[in-house]
Amino acid sequence: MQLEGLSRMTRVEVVTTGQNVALLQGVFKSAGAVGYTAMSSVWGLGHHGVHPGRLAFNERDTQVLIFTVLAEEAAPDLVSAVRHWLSDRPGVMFVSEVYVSRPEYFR
Amino acid sequence: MQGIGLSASTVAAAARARLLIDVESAARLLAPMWPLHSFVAVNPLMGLLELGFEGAVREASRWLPMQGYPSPQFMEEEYHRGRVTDADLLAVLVDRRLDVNQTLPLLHAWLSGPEAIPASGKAGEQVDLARDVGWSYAIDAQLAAFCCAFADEGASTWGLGERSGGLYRCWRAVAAYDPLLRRQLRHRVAHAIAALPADPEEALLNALVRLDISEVHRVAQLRRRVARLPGWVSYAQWRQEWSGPDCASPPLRVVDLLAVQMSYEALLLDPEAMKANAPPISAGSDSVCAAIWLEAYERHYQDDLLAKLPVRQGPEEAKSPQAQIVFCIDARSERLRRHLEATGPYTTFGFAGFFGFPVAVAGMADRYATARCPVLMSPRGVVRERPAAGQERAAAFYLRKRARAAAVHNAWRAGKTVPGSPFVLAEALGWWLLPSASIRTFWPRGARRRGPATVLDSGDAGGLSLHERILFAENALLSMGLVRGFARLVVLCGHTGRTIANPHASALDCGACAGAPGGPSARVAARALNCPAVRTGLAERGVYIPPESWFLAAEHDTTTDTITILDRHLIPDGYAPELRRLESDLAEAGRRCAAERAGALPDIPRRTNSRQLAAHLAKRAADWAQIRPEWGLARNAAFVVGPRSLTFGINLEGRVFMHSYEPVLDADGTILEGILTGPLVVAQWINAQYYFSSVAPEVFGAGDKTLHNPVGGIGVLSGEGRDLKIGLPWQSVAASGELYHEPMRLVVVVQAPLERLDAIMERDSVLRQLVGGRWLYLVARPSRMQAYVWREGTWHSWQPATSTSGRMRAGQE
Repeated sequence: MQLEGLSRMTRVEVVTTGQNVALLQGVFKSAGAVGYTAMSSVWGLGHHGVHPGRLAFNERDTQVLIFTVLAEEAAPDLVSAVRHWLSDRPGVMFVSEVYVSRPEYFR
Repeated sequence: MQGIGLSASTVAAAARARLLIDVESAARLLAPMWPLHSFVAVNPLMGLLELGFEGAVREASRWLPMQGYPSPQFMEEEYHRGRVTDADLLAVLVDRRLDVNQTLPLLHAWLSGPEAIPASGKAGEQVDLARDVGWSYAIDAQLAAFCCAFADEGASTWGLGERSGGLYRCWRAVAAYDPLLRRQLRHRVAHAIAALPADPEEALLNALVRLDISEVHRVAQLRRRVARLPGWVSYAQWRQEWSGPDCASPPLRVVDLLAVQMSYEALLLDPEAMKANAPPISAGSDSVCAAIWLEAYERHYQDDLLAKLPVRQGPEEAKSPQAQIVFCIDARSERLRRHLEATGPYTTFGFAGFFGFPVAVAGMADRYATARCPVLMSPRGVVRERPAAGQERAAAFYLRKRARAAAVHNAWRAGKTVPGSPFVLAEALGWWLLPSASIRTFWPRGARRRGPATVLDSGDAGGLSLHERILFAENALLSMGLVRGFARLVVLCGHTGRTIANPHASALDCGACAGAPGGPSARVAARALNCPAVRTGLAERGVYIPPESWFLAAEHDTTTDTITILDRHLIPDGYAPELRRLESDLAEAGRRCAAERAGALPDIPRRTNSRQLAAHLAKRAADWAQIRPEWGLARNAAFVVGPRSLTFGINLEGRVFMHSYEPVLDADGTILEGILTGPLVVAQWINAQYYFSSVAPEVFGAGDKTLHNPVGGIGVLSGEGRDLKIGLPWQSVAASGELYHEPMRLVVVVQAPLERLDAIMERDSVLRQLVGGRWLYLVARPSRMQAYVWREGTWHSWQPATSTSGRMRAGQE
């Protein structure tokens, strides 16, 4: 993979129920993220069994994947906060290294 | 990615993020409160769902002055009139594997115990008042008054100034003039306010440090403060999480409320005194007895309900119906369905009153569109009302008339609110208003404003694509089990309540339409289902609607039990004979429905004929002094999911939400899953709202209507009370000091195979929490002869309480 000219940053992804998205948006912002992307109605098999992707009359209780990309030095604060939050909430977090072409968009 | 900006702060990002999480954890004690213009019933303890019903009540009782169960006095009265019996108690004790001989005497002793009176005063204050501090009261009164000014939604003519930065920033800008702070800090006030951080999170963190509250105790301390102003915190929860990005109200967040509240404390209180705070209120030790009595009380109703359901083939629904009528699942539809079916060859269905089309609707004269779908969903498009063909001039005239009326109204309102002007206005115009005020008082008459013929078409620009309309139509028809045998007329009947001068008017409207009248949703759905392109798409997906079938919209006025056919101008002439008969039968069904319902209204004149009763109900709906236009959903108790044959011809007393469901159309269970995760959740919220408004009116009820003091379009205060009142007014659940509503958790009866329900329970966490946490009871009827209840993770064959006690007696002999 050609990574020359790209900038290394950190991606933090959280899969949780839709009702938690508003809080996570605030937490991302507070921790220094300048944006996020959310995907609603994601589905799959997890610790608590199968999660349905779409419910006919309820969007709040479906699974949502929300992620943000931020500078490596800002990531520990966010990771720490989300870990604290996950201590008594359903959901999972993935933290990974990513390379972006426009780092200024994420600072 | 969407940029959201980064606010400047000197506080470590991790600390800020953690603070938001702790604030959210603390605020979960309370549910969001929708504003009055779209009052939506919610489970007041929905944030504590994972604790289960009893755990959530216990947790809420630690912080709020409430018991959460029907009182011993209530249960004693119900016991003496046979509404709950020893047989019911025995059945519950057996289910709970408790020793009957030891426990039964304790339960009876509980009835005669002292009434468990919630700690007096305002929520969360007990600790401080007991210590004779009283500061929290003064601080919260000041904060609540500020919140009224901040969030008034433009009702006041003298605004607070810049509010877009949130409550804390707005407060900080004017706090130097705050009378409480000026009185206590005197000449130091300006300096003290200037020293406060500009950022609310930073201010709250500073206050926490100043008050010496460590991270370990932070959630508990925040929760204690949240409990002091449950109304405003609940409104803030709605504003920050549910109101959507287009909401025009000033932004109010829980973190801002706490930042102001704790900044007051940090400025005024001695941290040493705060350290010695007593623990929160302890839950009553007799809550186990109360829980058992409640369960027995519920058990009695459940036995009655299940005994009513047919075990063998009962009277048949009409085979070739003259019309099919789809009503909202709302419990108030049950009576009308039953009486309509008795008047002629009609079949009826139950489906959520937005009829499957999640849209926002803007009336011709509306500046903004309002959502007309359950709050669990987001509108997928905006449908704008437009004049019907040939009605353009009439519509323009109508809009001009409305604009003139609005101008006069605004001028009148401005005249009333300019300082000093009310005195002049009353002198100058008061006499002129006397006749109209007298007429409205003594001879109230309601008149619906009639405008030009219009159309609500979700296919218009801004609405839904053809593909979406086909999908929504298919989903709705499949979910209600109406996919073949269409009659010539298919009526989609929404509902609305009619009342005036009633801040809680929208509580009488349709919950599936986000607390709005259901007529527009019926119009949108009917228009889509009559669209040839939609019908072609449906036919390609296996749902063939014959060309001779016409969908028409109607609206049931639940206050007067009158039914109005909507969009008449769209109905082809060929349907006139059927329509005449249908209207006649709907009117007759409405009269019978009203007569049945009138027996429960406390101030109905006795010995009235149907014409007099209709006149009384119409007068009641138009009476600006009426505190109880109708009972709304009081006494709601059950949710039945199944074909109409399950309930056909049975008097369910207007207490049952009824959702149509045909198990044979749903092999993979997705339709049932949709019902149990959408409409059922809405019904459970309604049920829980009525329950807690009845058993904990001090915290979760809106109090006496005659004392209500509306704040903008948000909520009501009780008299000059400081906090917004949550929940339903006392007159919505009680009359003459006695509860009319029977506080019970919802029992859900589903006609479906057990395996299908098992599969849904396994994959849906919300349903698992509701059933496993005993927020509701789930009863399955895989066949007419069998009923099973879900308890402790598995199905148990349903045994009526009388059979349990009979077996026990036989065992003892």
